[in-house]
Amino acid sequence: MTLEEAEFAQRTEALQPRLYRTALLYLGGEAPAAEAVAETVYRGFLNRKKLRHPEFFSTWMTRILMNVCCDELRRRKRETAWEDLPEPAAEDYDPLPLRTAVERLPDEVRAVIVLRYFTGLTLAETAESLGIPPGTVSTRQRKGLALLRLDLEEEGF
Amino acid sequence: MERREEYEKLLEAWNETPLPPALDSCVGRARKRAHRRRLGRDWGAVLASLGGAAAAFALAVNLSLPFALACGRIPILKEMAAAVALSSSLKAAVENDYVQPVGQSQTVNGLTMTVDYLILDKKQVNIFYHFTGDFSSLSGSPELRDPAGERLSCSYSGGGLAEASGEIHQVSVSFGDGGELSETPPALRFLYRIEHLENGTEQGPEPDVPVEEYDPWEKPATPEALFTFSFDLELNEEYRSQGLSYDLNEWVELDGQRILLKTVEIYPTNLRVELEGDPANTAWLKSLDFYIEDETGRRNDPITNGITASGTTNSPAMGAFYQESSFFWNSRHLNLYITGGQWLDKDQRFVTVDLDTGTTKDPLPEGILLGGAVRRGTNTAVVLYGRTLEGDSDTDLHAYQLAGWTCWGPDGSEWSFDSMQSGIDQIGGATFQTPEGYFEETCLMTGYPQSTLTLEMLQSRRFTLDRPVTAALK
Repeated sequence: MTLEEAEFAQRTEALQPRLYRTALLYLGGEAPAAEAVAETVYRGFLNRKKLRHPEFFSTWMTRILMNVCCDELRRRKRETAWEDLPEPAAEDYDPLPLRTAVERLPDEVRAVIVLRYFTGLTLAETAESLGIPPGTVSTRQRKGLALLRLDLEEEGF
Repeated sequence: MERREEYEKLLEAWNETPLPPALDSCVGRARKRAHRRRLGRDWGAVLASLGGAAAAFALAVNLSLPFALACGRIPILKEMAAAVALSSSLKAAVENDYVQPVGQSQTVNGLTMTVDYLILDKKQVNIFYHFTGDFSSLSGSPELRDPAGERLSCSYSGGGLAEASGEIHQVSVSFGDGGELSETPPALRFLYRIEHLENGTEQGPEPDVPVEEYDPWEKPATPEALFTFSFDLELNEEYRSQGLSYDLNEWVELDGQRILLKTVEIYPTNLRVELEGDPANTAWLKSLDFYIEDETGRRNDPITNGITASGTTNSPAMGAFYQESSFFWNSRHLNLYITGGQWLDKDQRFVTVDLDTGTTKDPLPEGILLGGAVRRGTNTAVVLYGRTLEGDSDTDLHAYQLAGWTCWGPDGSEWSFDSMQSGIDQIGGATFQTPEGYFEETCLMTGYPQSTLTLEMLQSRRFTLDRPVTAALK
């Protein structure tokens, strides 16, 4: 069973706010987040017939979104490659407001923190969305929480 | 405030973030974009770009130290670095200061267009430009003319409106691909037509059409140009004369077919192998896998985004195949290695489809299926499925063109499809299901009165040589 166009439209509409908020926190800035969601919806539309298990629609769309966001971050890095700054030390995060601190996390750590503690995905869903093993998700979320000095449950939050 | 409390407040605010108006009708716009994907084919002359567009998201960027240093010498090359990142030829040109500065600007209605640089040689001109101002609701397209204003017979690719203010974009113009001009002319006029995005108006994009009311046969109206930028460009003679040619004139056998290797031409912007098939062959050559290697083992790259082959209207075969250049290598020896390619078998070129039954009696090329056909009055649709390519995944589609734009009626009359669309489930009440491992392409036409239609297929099978065919260039 694949996703018909009308059903795709209906499910996408329901999911769109969550996709937008995820992109907003991951990329920073309304315009890039809106562009990332528009690109995600486009790629999802083109590929919807490949989704053989529609019950995984939201994880599948989140995975597309994260791919699109990674493309955007790579594009930004490409343009500023020789201006890259070293990763901040752990103590540098302490005085920052939480939102700014999240935005300053290394990309791969920020992706896990955003999906786990803002989008509300489970550990397994986060692993599926990012195409990485669950163990890697655990490692990155521990690192992210430590950098943010945020004492949250690591499992089942 | 404690971190935990701060987190809870941030989460609460995050959950209430409203959706921006830019995402209104997002699905409808995605559908339009998917269906429009294959429209607008009238660019250029006789040209084949095989698999180029599919590589648009597969960017492998290597900002090497010499390249970064070269970028430092040319004022705005930070932006230019992104524009040439896809092409090792253009990167090498920048590293070698092989760039003609232009610096012409024009401003209309608060939008400024600047033509920054040219990278050109005997066969190709790459025009680099950028916009500043608000163009969020605009789209644009380039056009090339001669200095007197007559349309130029040439092929071109690229030429989009930038996504961000100041971002450099590029249009590549090729000469000698079957057009009237065999070489880069001394001057050309570069026009850039600005129009509203998606047929919108000054009040914004037109409203979305509900799924059930969408008519795939409806032809989108051509939006009126708001204004057109026009730049007269003088092309430096020193750059225009650049290029090396190696005559081979050597017959080789590829997968049982005889091919005459004619020349290998190496220009700063690309490298092209010209060849010709024996008329007695049973297949036409449609794509060629090859590389150039020098005495150090260095190999050139395939083109990942742009023109990869060209031909003429006289034959379905491609006569020239392009790759990234080795022009700046300064090698002592160069060899050509051919490793494979793609044929169109002469007996599989044409496939006649019964539009009432959605079937064909002709054999279809390898990897292509006929999904069916729809006939509603004189509205016609033929649904084709093509096997997906390597690199295709459940979240990223790699498609290629399956059939030609020209088709024929049973009386031999020549017709042309209005559009080739993808992402269509339902057409005229009929539902189609794309098989696993395939993508769908639907060819649509209005005003066609017949019940059968003959398609022209573009390729039939790939081949890989056990041992590469080689030829020494120098």
